[in-house]
Amino acid sequence: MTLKSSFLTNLKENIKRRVWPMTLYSLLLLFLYPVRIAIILSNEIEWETTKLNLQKDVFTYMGFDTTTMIIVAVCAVLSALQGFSWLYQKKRVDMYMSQPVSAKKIFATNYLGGLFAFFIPFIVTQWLSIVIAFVMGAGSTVMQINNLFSFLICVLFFFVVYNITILAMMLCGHMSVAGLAAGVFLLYDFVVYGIVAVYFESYFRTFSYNYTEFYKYILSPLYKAGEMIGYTKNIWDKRDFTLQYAWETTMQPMGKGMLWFLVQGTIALGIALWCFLHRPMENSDKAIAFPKIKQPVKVVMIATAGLGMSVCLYSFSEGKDGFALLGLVSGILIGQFIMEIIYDFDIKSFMKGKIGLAIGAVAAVAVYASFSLDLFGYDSYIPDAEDVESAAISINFYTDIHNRIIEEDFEVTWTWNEPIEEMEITNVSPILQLAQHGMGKDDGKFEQVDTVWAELCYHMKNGRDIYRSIPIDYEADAAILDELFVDEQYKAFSQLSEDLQGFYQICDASYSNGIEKQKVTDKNAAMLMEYYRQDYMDMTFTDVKDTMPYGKITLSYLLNGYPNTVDYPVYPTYERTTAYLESKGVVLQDSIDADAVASIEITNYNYVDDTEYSPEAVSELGNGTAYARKDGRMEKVIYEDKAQIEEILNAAYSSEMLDYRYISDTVVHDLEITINTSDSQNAYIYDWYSIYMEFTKDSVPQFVCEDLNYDPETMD
Amino acid sequence: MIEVKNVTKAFEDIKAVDDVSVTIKEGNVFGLIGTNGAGKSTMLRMITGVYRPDEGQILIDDQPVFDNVETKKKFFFIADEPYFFANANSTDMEKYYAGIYDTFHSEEFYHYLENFGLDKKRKISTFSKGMKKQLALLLGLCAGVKYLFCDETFDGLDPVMRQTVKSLMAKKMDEEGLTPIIASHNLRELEDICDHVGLLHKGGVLLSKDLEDMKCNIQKVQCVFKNPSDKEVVLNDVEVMKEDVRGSLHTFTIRGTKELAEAKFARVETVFFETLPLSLEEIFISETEVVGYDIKKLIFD
Repeated sequence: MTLKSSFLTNLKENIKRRVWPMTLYSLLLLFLYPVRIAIILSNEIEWETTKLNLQKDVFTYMGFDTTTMIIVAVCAVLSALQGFSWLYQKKRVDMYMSQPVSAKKIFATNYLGGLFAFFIPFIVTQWLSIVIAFVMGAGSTVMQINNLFSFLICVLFFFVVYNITILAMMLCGHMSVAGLAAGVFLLYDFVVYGIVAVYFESYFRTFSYNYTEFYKYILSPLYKAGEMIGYTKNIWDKRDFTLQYAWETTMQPMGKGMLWFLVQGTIALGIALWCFLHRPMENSDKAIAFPKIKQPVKVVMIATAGLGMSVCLYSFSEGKDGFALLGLVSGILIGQFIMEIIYDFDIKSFMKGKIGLAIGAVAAVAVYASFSLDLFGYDSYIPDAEDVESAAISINFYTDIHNRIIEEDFEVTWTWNEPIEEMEITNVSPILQLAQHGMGKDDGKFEQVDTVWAELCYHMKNGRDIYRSIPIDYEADAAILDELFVDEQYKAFSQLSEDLQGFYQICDASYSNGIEKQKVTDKNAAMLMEYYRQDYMDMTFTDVKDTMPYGKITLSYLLNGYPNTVDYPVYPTYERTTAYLESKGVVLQDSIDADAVASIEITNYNYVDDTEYSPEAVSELGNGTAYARKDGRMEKVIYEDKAQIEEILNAAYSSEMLDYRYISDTVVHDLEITINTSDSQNAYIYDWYSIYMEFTKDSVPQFVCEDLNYDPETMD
Repeated sequence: MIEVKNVTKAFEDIKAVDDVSVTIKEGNVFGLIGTNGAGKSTMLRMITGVYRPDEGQILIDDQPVFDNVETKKKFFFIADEPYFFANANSTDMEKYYAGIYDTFHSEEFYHYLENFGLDKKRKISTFSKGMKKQLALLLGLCAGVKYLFCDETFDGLDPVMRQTVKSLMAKKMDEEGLTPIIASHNLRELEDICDHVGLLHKGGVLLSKDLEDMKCNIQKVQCVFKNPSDKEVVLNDVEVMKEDVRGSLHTFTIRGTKELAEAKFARVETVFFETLPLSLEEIFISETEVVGYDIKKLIFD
């Protein structure tokens, strides 16, 4: 008999011994694919769904989704554990390693056996599903190509998880420890990511959480698989279901992930094979097969446990360093105990390996100190201007323009990352000046002033992107912000810089001054928006800092048969826009006629503690929860005097417009204004039920403050 | 020929085999004996390529063993606890090994299986310990290999089976040039079959000799001295391994041939003198007592 036939003999024998896992996989995959597809399609056919939607069903349910990911991962882990479990039994090791079969062939037969055990049922169930799809009228070339693509993703995902688990098996000598090791390999990144992110967020005031790039360093295939599931967009809104669409929106973005699986899986396989060839077979009942890695692994685990526990207690105690230190020490000790007990399977060995304990403890303390003491100057870091290629800044201000995107299909989305990643301002001086004022440790100075937060990104000349988050005293730094706002590169990154002619053509434009909504154009809002764009480009920060807009432009359009709107505030300095609107007969500003008002109720909620429960307030309001004053009662006053009514109407602003005062700390939310009309006619004219009004801190009439015992200076 | 040259193997802090050198010639039955924990099983596993030695070299027919397929085709290893596939029967195991060993004699295997009363279709998991060992032995003997390594294989076999297996081994040695290497505690059994013996103790080799040579070079002498002081005269230049005195009867275990022993004791007058051959067991005990592995110490300490 030839060597080749002995290999096949071994492979056949290996597959024969995988009957129970193959049965399990077959059952899982049978219900995951053909049965599920048959049920869904039969239900859809009963509801008289179109053929296109039937195809989309198949596309969705045979694609790479969360259920598939979990099942493939579980099968991969089981296959690896079952295929190489013989390494953990001395008598099986005796048999295999004394036979005239090379170690590489032994590895290969066990490896391939695991692959076949999964992929035979997988291919069969996939094929069955395709047959069912065609029989039930959902078949198409696009669907088949997509299924082939999804199959490829499953193959590669299985490949990487399988190989990583085998690597864990090679390094360990006991099944339970190997399972733990596989879990660590697959999930450790998430733990580290979580710990590091919380450390950054907890200890660094200027940490830019929205734009963190930590996720890019997560190597776990589970994370990459999760990203790929995200690419499988909901395609129900799309009318055309073409190969090109499927390629652009789903297949192409997933290509990177597939390549990652291939590379990572190949590396894991190479290391696993090396470990197998060099594995000391006498360690088949030990926790770790390679004794030299025990202490380095323990050092890593101890440091992780210490830092993890520290971060947990720090968070639970709401930022107390004493508890963080307690967590650090207890985590280190717990890590030590657990690792040594795992190594020796003996609870009495918990204090062995003191050198590893010492190194792990030092590492954990060093990392902790570097965060808590900011040893590397994270919060005070400001680069030299000559090292910066360009910079980006995203201020929590005028977000409708800077953070709202109108997609090619006219769907509106919001983004917080793209401004920071794509903006490139070469005059970095204003940004560096803002950083000078905003960086550094928290000395409480920003609690005394009105601030707005901004995210920064320095695009360095060495290719790095550095992110920070800073507070800006918008009064003190108004001049710097003005300089920034007139920078074309700053304003270049806005929705208004995009070519949206096609979008504007389909939009009806209207204008609301907070009291009345008025039509401007039927379709063709391009000219209006061009004036708006020009006014926006001339706008400075001071122009809109705490300015009330006259009103807002609303563009209305249908998206897939559903009405959508997009709003644009019109500020007093927007002269071109206001001139155009006035030419269309629009009333820019309006107010409510005091004669139309019978009375105005003002209620002082005076939020003291929004978790306080007041039985009196409940009986008054008649609902389940209530906010109460210190003395347990709310105050309400009804004004019927015309002079007072007029003063109140002149002091109050439409809430709709106040939303566009981005520096919103000055809006008084404690006082609720309810306007009661004098008759139903006026109620109809003014559309009372859609008008909500509020005061600003400076506009609350004195008599209102006295009547309601309200001090605007004390508001939160 | 199997050559073990300066082989050392340690498990963490424990040296299981310490600088051992042994040569196993073809055509002889080699008995590997030793105290508990001497390193016999470790040694066998290194020779069969299961473990890699930390130091030293192991050659079978001048070729290294570890991960060497051609060398491994020359031997079959029967472990102390042989492994069979779950739910497999004898036929399944025969097919498996026939696929690995080109020289496997399938017909012969089924012939012996029938003679041994083992049902080829019955699941091996239902076999007794002794039946499993029988099956393992048959698989090894029918593999057509040059060397057969047995780790405490005779334990668990009934006396009839032992004799049968010994006969089979002898037949294989005659017909196919098989060289069995047997590790065992059962020295009485080994004595019948072994030509050459290696004695391991605490990871080292105490001796490695032809059994006949060994027996020839250790004598048990019983004598009664006419003059008690003559004892010193006689023992002055004799290597005494062990001495036992009961009344006036002295029993000595001494190194040397029978002729040498007689010549030494002829120098003095004895009331009674007799030389007796030692069994392998007695040799084992004597040799290990010399290095401190004393049964009396174990019981009375």
